[in-house]
Amino acid sequence: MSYPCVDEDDFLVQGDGSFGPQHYMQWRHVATNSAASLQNAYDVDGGNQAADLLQLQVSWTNSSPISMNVYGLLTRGGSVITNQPRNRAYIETYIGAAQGAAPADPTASTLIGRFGNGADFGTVDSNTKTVFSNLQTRQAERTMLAGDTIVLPAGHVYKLRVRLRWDAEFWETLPVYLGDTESELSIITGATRLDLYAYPQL
Amino acid sequence: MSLKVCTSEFLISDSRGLEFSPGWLPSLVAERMAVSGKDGNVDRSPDQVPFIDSEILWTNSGDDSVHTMVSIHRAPRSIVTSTPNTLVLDDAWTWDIGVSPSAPLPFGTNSGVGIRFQTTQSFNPVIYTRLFRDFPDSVSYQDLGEVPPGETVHFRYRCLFSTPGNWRAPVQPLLLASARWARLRLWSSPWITGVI
Repeated sequence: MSYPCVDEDDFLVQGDGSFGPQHYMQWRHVATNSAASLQNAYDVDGGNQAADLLQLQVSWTNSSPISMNVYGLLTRGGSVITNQPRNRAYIETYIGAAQGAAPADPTASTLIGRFGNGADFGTVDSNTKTVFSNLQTRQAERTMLAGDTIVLPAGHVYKLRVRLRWDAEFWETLPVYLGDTESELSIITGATRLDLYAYPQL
Repeated sequence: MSLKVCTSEFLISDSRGLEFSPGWLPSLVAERMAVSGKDGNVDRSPDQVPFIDSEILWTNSGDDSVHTMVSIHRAPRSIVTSTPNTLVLDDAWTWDIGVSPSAPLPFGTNSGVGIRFQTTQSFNPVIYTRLFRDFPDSVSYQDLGEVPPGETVHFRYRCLFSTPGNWRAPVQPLLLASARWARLRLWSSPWITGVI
Protein backbone atom coordinates (compact mmCIF):
# COMPACT_ATOMS: atom_id res chain seq x y z
CA MET A 1 0.00 0.00 0.00
CA SER A 2 1.32 3.45 -0.85
CA TYR A 3 0.41 6.85 0.51
CA PRO A 4 0.98 9.46 -2.23
CA CYS A 5 0.47 12.41 0.14
CA VAL A 6 2.92 11.16 2.80
CA ASP A 7 6.71 11.06 2.49
CA GLU A 8 7.41 7.71 4.08
CA ASP A 9 11.05 8.65 4.55
CA ASP A 10 9.76 11.22 7.04
CA PHE A 11 6.64 9.57 8.41
CA LEU A 12 5.82 6.01 9.38
CA VAL A 13 2.36 4.90 8.32
CA GLN A 14 0.97 2.18 10.56
CA GLY A 15 -1.19 -0.72 9.37
CA ASP A 16 -4.33 1.05 10.53
CA GLY A 17 -3.51 4.08 8.42
CA SER A 18 -2.43 6.30 11.31
CA PHE A 19 0.97 7.94 11.00
CA GLY A 20 3.70 9.55 13.04
CA PRO A 21 7.29 10.72 12.62
CA GLN A 22 9.93 8.16 11.71
CA HIS A 23 12.17 7.39 14.68
CA TYR A 24 15.26 8.70 12.90
CA MET A 25 13.67 12.14 12.32
CA GLN A 26 14.99 13.15 15.71
CA TRP A 27 18.18 13.96 17.58
CA ARG A 28 19.39 10.66 19.02
CA HIS A 29 22.19 9.29 21.18
CA VAL A 30 23.18 6.35 18.97
CA ALA A 31 26.47 4.86 20.16
CA THR A 32 28.80 4.80 23.14
CA ASN A 33 32.02 3.12 24.19
CA SER A 34 34.25 3.60 27.20
CA ALA A 35 37.58 2.59 28.68
CA ALA A 36 38.44 2.39 32.37
CA SER A 37 40.96 4.62 34.11
CA LEU A 38 44.63 3.61 34.07
CA GLN A 39 46.93 4.07 37.04
CA ASN A 40 50.63 3.84 36.15
CA ALA A 41 53.86 4.51 38.02
CA TYR A 42 57.15 5.26 36.24
CA ASP A 43 60.83 5.44 37.09
CA VAL A 44 61.41 9.05 38.24
CA ASP A 45 64.88 9.22 36.65
CA GLY A 46 64.60 6.43 34.12
CA GLY A 47 64.74 8.59 31.01
CA ASN A 48 62.35 8.25 28.10
CA GLN A 49 59.28 6.21 29.02
CA ALA A 50 56.90 7.58 26.39
CA ALA A 51 54.13 5.16 25.42
CA ASP A 52 50.60 5.00 24.10
CA LEU A 53 48.26 4.37 27.03
CA LEU A 54 45.10 3.25 25.31
CA GLN A 55 42.99 3.45 22.18
CA LEU A 56 39.22 3.55 22.15
CA GLN A 57 36.85 3.55 19.19
CA VAL A 58 33.13 3.98 18.68
CA SER A 59 31.30 3.35 15.42
CA TRP A 60 27.78 3.68 14.11
CA THR A 61 26.02 2.58 10.94
CA ASN A 62 23.31 4.79 9.48
CA SER A 63 20.58 2.22 8.93
CA SER A 64 17.96 4.83 8.05
CA PRO A 65 17.04 5.63 4.41
CA ILE A 66 18.20 9.26 4.63
CA SER A 67 21.47 11.03 5.37
CA MET A 68 22.28 11.83 8.99
CA ASN A 69 24.34 14.54 10.65
CA VAL A 70 26.64 12.80 13.11
CA TYR A 71 28.91 14.23 15.77
CA GLY A 72 30.95 12.81 18.64
CA LEU A 73 31.53 13.86 22.23
CA LEU A 74 34.64 12.83 24.12
CA THR A 75 34.45 12.70 27.91
CA ARG A 76 37.80 12.52 29.68
CA GLY A 77 37.65 11.57 33.34
CA GLY A 78 39.47 13.27 36.18
CA SER A 79 43.25 12.98 35.72
CA VAL A 80 46.18 13.17 38.12
CA ILE A 81 49.87 13.67 37.30
CA THR A 82 52.46 13.46 40.05
CA ASN A 83 55.87 14.50 38.82
CA GLN A 84 59.46 14.47 39.99
CA PRO A 85 61.64 17.26 38.52
CA ARG A 86 63.01 17.87 36.07
CA ASN A 87 60.55 15.74 34.14
CA ARG A 88 58.23 17.80 31.94
CA ALA A 89 55.55 15.21 31.35
CA TYR A 90 51.99 15.11 30.09
CA ILE A 91 49.06 12.99 28.94
CA GLU A 92 48.06 13.78 25.37
CA THR A 93 44.70 13.15 23.71
CA TYR A 94 44.61 12.42 19.98
CA ILE A 95 41.55 11.75 17.83
CA GLY A 96 40.84 10.47 14.35
CA ALA A 97 37.70 9.75 12.34
CA ALA A 98 36.68 7.83 9.22
CA GLN A 99 33.47 7.38 7.28
CA GLY A 100 32.35 5.38 4.26
CA ALA A 101 30.58 2.22 3.20
CA ALA A 102 33.24 0.10 4.92
CA PRO A 103 35.94 2.43 6.25
CA ALA A 104 39.18 1.17 7.76
CA ASP A 105 39.77 2.04 11.40
CA PRO A 106 41.04 5.63 11.58
CA THR A 107 44.42 6.66 12.97
CA ALA A 108 44.09 8.95 15.98
CA SER A 109 46.68 11.57 15.05
CA THR A 110 45.03 14.98 15.69
CA LEU A 111 46.14 16.45 19.03
CA ILE A 112 43.18 17.94 20.89
CA GLY A 113 44.23 17.76 24.55
CA ARG A 114 47.30 17.87 26.74
CA PHE A 115 47.45 17.77 30.52
CA GLY A 116 50.78 17.88 32.33
CA ASN A 117 53.23 19.71 34.56
CA GLY A 118 56.85 20.14 35.47
CA ALA A 119 59.12 21.96 37.91
CA ASP A 120 62.85 22.50 37.69
CA PHE A 121 65.08 23.39 40.65
CA GLY A 122 68.24 22.67 38.71
CA THR A 123 71.05 20.31 39.57
CA VAL A 124 73.76 20.05 42.22
CA ASP A 125 77.05 18.23 42.76
CA SER A 126 78.55 19.38 39.45
CA ASN A 127 75.37 18.53 37.54
CA THR A 128 75.34 14.92 38.74
CA LYS A 129 72.20 15.11 40.91
CA THR A 130 68.78 16.66 40.44
CA VAL A 131 67.20 18.72 43.21
CA PHE A 132 64.20 17.13 44.91
CA SER A 133 60.67 18.40 44.45
CA ASN A 134 57.36 16.74 43.85
CA LEU A 135 54.59 18.44 41.93
CA GLN A 136 51.06 17.14 41.52
CA THR A 137 48.22 18.64 39.49
CA ARG A 138 44.72 17.30 39.01
CA GLN A 139 42.25 18.03 36.25
CA ALA A 140 38.50 17.54 36.52
CA GLU A 141 36.37 15.50 34.13
CA ARG A 142 35.28 17.31 31.01
CA THR A 143 33.21 16.64 27.89
CA MET A 144 34.28 18.13 24.57
CA LEU A 145 33.30 17.94 20.92
CA ALA A 146 35.58 15.47 19.17
CA GLY A 147 35.97 15.87 15.43
CA ASP A 148 33.63 17.40 12.90
CA THR A 149 29.89 17.16 12.51
CA ILE A 150 29.66 15.08 9.36
CA VAL A 151 26.91 14.10 6.93
CA LEU A 152 26.64 10.32 6.81
CA PRO A 153 24.76 8.86 3.82
CA ALA A 154 22.33 6.00 4.31
CA GLY A 155 24.09 2.71 4.92
CA HIS A 156 27.45 4.30 5.66
CA VAL A 157 29.57 3.86 8.78
CA TYR A 158 31.19 6.52 10.98
CA LYS A 159 34.14 5.64 13.19
CA LEU A 160 35.63 7.91 15.83
CA ARG A 161 38.82 6.94 17.64
CA VAL A 162 40.74 8.40 20.57
CA ARG A 163 44.29 7.67 21.71
CA LEU A 164 45.87 8.64 25.02
CA ARG A 165 49.63 9.03 25.05
CA TRP A 166 52.13 9.48 27.86
CA ASP A 167 55.02 11.66 26.74
CA ALA A 168 57.39 14.42 27.87
CA GLU A 169 59.46 17.30 26.59
CA PHE A 170 62.21 16.35 29.01
CA TRP A 171 62.93 13.09 30.82
CA GLU A 172 65.05 13.11 33.98
CA THR A 173 68.05 10.79 34.02
CA LEU A 174 70.05 12.12 36.99
CA PRO A 175 69.59 10.58 40.46
CA VAL A 176 67.72 12.65 43.05
CA TYR A 177 69.87 14.52 45.58
CA LEU A 178 69.49 12.87 49.02
CA GLY A 179 67.68 9.89 47.49
CA ASP A 180 64.48 9.24 45.58
CA THR A 181 62.41 7.49 48.26
CA GLU A 182 59.87 10.33 48.27
CA SER A 183 59.99 10.99 44.54
CA GLU A 184 57.13 9.89 42.38
CA LEU A 185 56.33 9.90 38.68
CA SER A 186 52.83 8.57 38.22
CA ILE A 187 49.55 9.13 36.44
CA ILE A 188 45.88 8.37 36.84
CA THR A 189 44.21 8.88 33.46
CA GLY A 190 40.56 8.80 34.48
CA ALA A 191 37.94 6.98 32.42
CA THR A 192 37.52 7.80 28.72
CA ARG A 193 34.15 7.76 26.95
CA LEU A 194 33.08 8.38 23.36
CA ASP A 195 29.44 9.10 22.47
CA LEU A 196 27.92 9.54 19.02
CA TYR A 197 24.82 11.60 18.31
CA ALA A 198 22.83 11.76 15.09
CA TYR A 199 20.10 13.96 13.70
CA PRO A 200 18.51 13.99 10.22
CA GLN A 201 19.94 15.93 7.31
CA LEU A 202 16.87 17.54 5.72
CA MET B 1 -11.87 24.12 11.01
CA SER B 2 -9.12 21.59 10.50
CA LEU B 3 -9.12 18.22 8.85
CA LYS B 4 -8.43 15.50 11.43
CA VAL B 5 -6.13 12.67 10.47
CA CYS B 6 -5.26 9.45 12.26
CA THR B 7 -1.96 9.78 14.14
CA SER B 8 0.25 7.39 16.05
CA GLU B 9 2.73 8.39 18.75
CA PHE B 10 4.40 11.82 18.75
CA LEU B 11 1.83 13.45 16.44
CA ILE B 12 -1.40 15.15 17.51
CA SER B 13 -4.32 15.96 15.27
CA ASP B 14 -7.04 17.94 16.99
CA SER B 15 -9.23 20.99 16.50
CA ARG B 16 -6.12 23.18 16.31
CA GLY B 17 -4.64 21.14 13.49
CA LEU B 18 -1.79 18.69 13.08
CA GLU B 19 1.20 19.15 15.39
CA PHE B 20 3.97 17.37 17.20
CA SER B 21 3.25 16.16 20.71
CA PRO B 22 5.27 17.89 23.45
CA GLY B 23 7.20 14.66 24.02
CA TRP B 24 8.72 14.87 20.55
CA LEU B 25 10.61 18.04 21.29
CA PRO B 26 14.04 17.73 22.92
CA SER B 27 13.97 20.13 25.84
CA LEU B 28 15.52 21.38 29.03
CA VAL B 29 13.21 20.02 31.71
CA ALA B 30 14.93 20.92 34.99
CA GLU B 31 17.75 23.17 36.10
CA ARG B 32 19.54 23.79 39.37
CA MET B 33 22.10 26.40 40.33
CA ALA B 34 24.07 25.61 43.49
CA VAL B 35 26.70 27.71 45.22
CA SER B 36 29.57 26.70 47.47
CA GLY B 37 29.01 27.29 51.18
CA LYS B 38 32.62 26.99 52.32
CA ASP B 39 34.88 28.94 49.95
CA GLY B 40 37.91 30.54 51.60
CA ASN B 41 40.48 29.40 54.15
CA VAL B 42 40.83 25.66 54.53
CA ASP B 43 42.68 23.32 56.83
CA ARG B 44 43.65 19.66 57.02
CA SER B 45 40.70 17.47 56.08
CA PRO B 46 41.44 13.76 55.61
CA ASP B 47 37.71 13.12 55.15
CA GLN B 48 35.84 14.75 52.31
CA VAL B 49 33.88 17.87 53.21
CA PRO B 50 31.05 18.96 50.88
CA PHE B 51 31.45 22.49 49.51
CA ILE B 52 28.49 22.09 47.15
CA ASP B 53 25.61 19.63 47.61
CA SER B 54 22.77 19.75 45.10
CA GLU B 55 20.17 17.54 43.50
CA ILE B 56 17.48 17.40 40.84
CA LEU B 57 14.20 15.51 41.10
CA TRP B 58 12.12 15.32 37.93
CA THR B 59 9.12 13.19 37.05
CA ASN B 60 8.23 12.21 33.51
CA SER B 61 4.57 13.23 33.49
CA GLY B 62 4.11 12.47 29.80
CA ASP B 63 2.74 9.37 28.13
CA ASP B 64 5.98 8.21 26.51
CA SER B 65 9.43 7.21 27.68
CA VAL B 66 12.12 9.86 27.38
CA HIS B 67 15.90 9.76 27.04
CA THR B 68 17.56 11.90 29.72
CA MET B 69 20.98 13.46 29.97
CA VAL B 70 22.49 15.81 32.56
CA SER B 71 25.05 18.51 31.93
CA ILE B 72 27.13 19.32 34.98
CA HIS B 73 28.75 22.73 34.60
CA ARG B 74 31.34 23.51 37.27
CA ALA B 75 32.62 27.01 37.89
CA PRO B 76 36.25 28.03 37.61
CA ARG B 77 37.99 26.70 40.71
CA SER B 78 40.93 28.18 42.58
CA ILE B 79 43.31 26.57 45.01
CA VAL B 80 46.31 27.94 46.90
CA THR B 81 48.50 25.50 48.80
CA SER B 82 51.71 25.59 50.81
CA THR B 83 54.35 22.89 50.62
CA PRO B 84 53.92 19.92 51.00
CA ASN B 85 50.17 19.73 51.43
CA THR B 86 47.72 18.41 48.82
CA LEU B 87 44.41 20.27 48.39
CA VAL B 88 41.69 18.70 46.25
CA LEU B 89 38.16 19.61 45.14
CA ASP B 90 36.60 16.40 43.81
CA ASP B 91 33.39 16.18 41.78
CA ALA B 92 30.99 13.31 42.38
CA TRP B 93 27.52 12.50 41.12
CA THR B 94 25.01 9.67 41.30
CA TRP B 95 21.52 9.03 40.00
CA ASP B 96 18.59 6.69 40.30
CA ILE B 97 15.47 6.23 38.17
CA GLY B 98 12.24 4.69 39.45
CA VAL B 99 8.82 5.29 40.94
CA SER B 100 10.43 6.51 44.17
CA PRO B 101 14.15 6.83 43.39
CA SER B 102 16.89 7.52 45.93
CA ALA B 103 20.34 8.17 44.50
CA PRO B 104 23.18 7.20 46.84
CA LEU B 105 25.28 9.90 48.47
CA PRO B 106 27.94 10.85 45.88
CA PHE B 107 31.56 10.12 46.77
CA GLY B 108 34.56 10.14 44.50
CA THR B 109 38.32 10.54 44.47
CA ASN B 110 40.76 11.49 41.72
CA SER B 111 37.84 13.11 39.92
CA GLY B 112 38.44 16.80 40.37
CA VAL B 113 40.99 19.59 40.53
CA GLY B 114 43.89 19.75 42.96
CA ILE B 115 47.53 20.60 43.55
CA ARG B 116 50.52 19.59 45.64
CA PHE B 117 54.01 21.05 45.62
CA GLN B 118 56.49 19.32 47.92
CA THR B 119 59.85 21.06 47.84
CA THR B 120 61.73 19.22 50.60
CA GLN B 121 61.94 15.63 51.65
CA SER B 122 60.21 14.74 54.93
CA PHE B 123 63.53 14.34 56.79
CA ASN B 124 64.37 17.98 56.04
CA PRO B 125 62.65 21.09 57.41
CA VAL B 126 59.77 22.55 55.42
CA ILE B 127 60.75 25.60 53.39
CA TYR B 128 58.51 28.46 52.39
CA THR B 129 56.70 27.54 49.14
CA ARG B 130 53.28 28.57 47.90
CA LEU B 131 51.58 27.33 44.73
CA PHE B 132 48.66 29.18 43.15
CA ARG B 133 46.46 27.52 40.58
CA ASP B 134 43.22 28.54 38.87
CA PHE B 135 41.29 26.00 36.84
CA PRO B 136 38.91 26.89 34.01
CA ASP B 137 35.26 25.91 34.15
CA SER B 138 34.34 22.47 32.87
CA VAL B 139 31.24 20.70 31.63
CA SER B 140 30.48 16.99 31.79
CA TYR B 141 27.62 15.36 29.93
CA GLN B 142 26.23 12.31 31.68
CA ASP B 143 23.68 10.07 29.99
CA LEU B 144 21.09 8.81 32.46
CA GLY B 145 19.11 6.68 30.01
CA GLU B 146 15.41 5.96 29.80
CA VAL B 147 12.82 7.45 32.16
CA PRO B 148 9.50 5.63 31.60
CA PRO B 149 6.25 7.60 31.96
CA GLY B 150 5.32 8.19 35.59
CA GLU B 151 8.82 7.48 36.84
CA THR B 152 11.18 9.97 38.44
CA VAL B 153 14.88 10.62 38.04
CA HIS B 154 16.89 11.63 41.11
CA PHE B 155 20.29 13.15 40.33
CA ARG B 156 22.76 14.28 43.00
CA TYR B 157 25.97 16.27 42.70
CA ARG B 158 28.56 17.12 45.35
CA CYS B 159 31.83 19.03 45.26
CA LEU B 160 34.05 17.55 47.96
CA PHE B 161 37.12 19.12 49.56
CA SER B 162 39.87 16.96 51.04
CA THR B 163 43.61 16.89 51.73
CA PRO B 164 44.85 13.42 50.73
CA GLY B 165 48.29 12.17 51.63
CA ASN B 166 50.82 13.46 54.11
CA TRP B 167 50.39 16.77 55.92
CA ARG B 168 52.98 19.03 57.56
CA ALA B 169 52.62 22.43 59.15
CA PRO B 170 53.80 24.83 56.43
CA VAL B 171 56.02 27.88 56.89
CA GLN B 172 53.69 30.91 56.85
CA PRO B 173 50.80 28.75 55.59
CA LEU B 174 48.34 29.97 52.99
CA LEU B 175 45.67 27.39 52.22
CA LEU B 176 42.65 28.47 50.16
CA ALA B 177 40.00 26.70 48.11
CA SER B 178 37.12 28.11 46.07
CA ALA B 179 34.54 25.89 44.34
CA ARG B 180 32.18 28.82 43.59
CA TRP B 181 29.17 27.16 41.95
CA ALA B 182 27.79 24.30 39.89
CA ARG B 183 24.91 24.34 37.45
CA LEU B 184 22.94 21.18 36.75
CA ARG B 185 20.72 20.87 33.71
CA LEU B 186 18.50 17.92 32.86
CA TRP B 187 17.76 17.40 29.16
CA SER B 188 15.02 15.24 27.74
CA SER B 189 14.34 13.86 24.27
CA PRO B 190 11.98 11.12 23.07
CA TRP B 191 12.93 7.50 23.72
CA ILE B 192 12.66 6.12 20.19
CA THR B 193 14.06 3.25 18.15
CA GLY B 194 17.83 3.51 17.87
CA VAL B 195 18.36 5.52 21.05
CA ILE B 196 20.73 4.00 23.57
